[in-house]
Amino acid sequence: MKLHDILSARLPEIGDSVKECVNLGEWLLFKTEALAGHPKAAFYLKTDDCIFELDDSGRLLQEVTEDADKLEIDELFYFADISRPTSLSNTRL
Amino acid sequence: MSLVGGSTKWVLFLSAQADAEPRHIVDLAYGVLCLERAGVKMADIAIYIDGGDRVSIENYIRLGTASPFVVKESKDFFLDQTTNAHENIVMFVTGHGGPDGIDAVKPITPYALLSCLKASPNLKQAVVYLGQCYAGIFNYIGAGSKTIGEGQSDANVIFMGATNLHESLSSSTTEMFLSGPLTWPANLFLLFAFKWFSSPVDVDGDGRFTIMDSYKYAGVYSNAVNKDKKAAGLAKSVDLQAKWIAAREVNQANPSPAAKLDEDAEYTRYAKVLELLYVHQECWILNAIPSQSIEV
Repeated sequence: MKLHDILSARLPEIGDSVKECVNLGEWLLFKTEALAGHPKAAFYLKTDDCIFELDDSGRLLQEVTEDADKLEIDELFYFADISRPTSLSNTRL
Repeated sequence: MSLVGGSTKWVLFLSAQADAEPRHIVDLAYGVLCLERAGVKMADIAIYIDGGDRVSIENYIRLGTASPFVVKESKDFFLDQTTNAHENIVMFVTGHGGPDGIDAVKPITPYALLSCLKASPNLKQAVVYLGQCYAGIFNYIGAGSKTIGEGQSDANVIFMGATNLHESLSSSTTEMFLSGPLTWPANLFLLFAFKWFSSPVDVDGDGRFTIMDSYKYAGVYSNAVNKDKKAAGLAKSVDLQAKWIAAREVNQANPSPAAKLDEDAEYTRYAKVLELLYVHQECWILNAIPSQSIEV
């Protein structure tokens, strides 16, 4: 699995709150190599309950309602210019 | 006796009624990373994860190791144990839990797990770290070694829980994996238990790195992080509530899928803080005496 940092301007149609959920790791912004049946989707957004197709600007296209479990997560994305949590495993007391 | 390098099976276990959640899979990917750093050979690590998307599961695990591995399903664990050849098992359980046991197609009760371990041939001791919610239902059962006739004894089982009869807590962290930094809501008790194996600390000062040290380390650090996160969350909660209400009003005034998504995102951030504030987590250990002499 590849991990990428992108600038938030790369996906201007995604709201700031969504981007913050992505950077918290609560929601997943990803790409899949298994694009059959989803030709317009550039990215996917996995929330607590749904998976959405996004276009290349981050605009929401539609919810994935069929074969969502076949969307292999091959690349994960975070936003480089929005804060991310620090390492907890390196906590010192 | 020593676990690493000894006859030890290291089990990473994630059962689920449906598909395992990515955050729980990452808990175990971090476990693989730490165990290999501790000197455990991949051949001695057994991974059991439920879910239909086997490719994504393997992609996540590969973040923690460059070694070849196999991911089986949770039901295979119980089958594998009938032909166990190891003297020791160290098992890490993540995922969901409830009053019926560990989440699975058929929830795994404390008795089912204990019976499986006790019945495992050749097994002398088992150490089980339970990260799931309501792990305390695995406490107060007959885990100690018992005579089973003709001078034979069954396995000594040590259970440790991230939490008692409450939900367990996760907090977002960014840790360095083989492919780079990954952020996920980590099960805190397991995070620090894994960390201890990769960098053992002699907490009680007896000159040895024992399972008891791992328990005390994981307990202290998960409690400390929880306290800090609760304090920070309380300070942010009013602001997060206001943002959620504002997003909800936008969606109510001009409903759209994008506005609904923004509202859900604001609610998710607010709800995560509330979960943290309203859940009490306190770890526990059952059959503590043998854990004081089992060295890593």
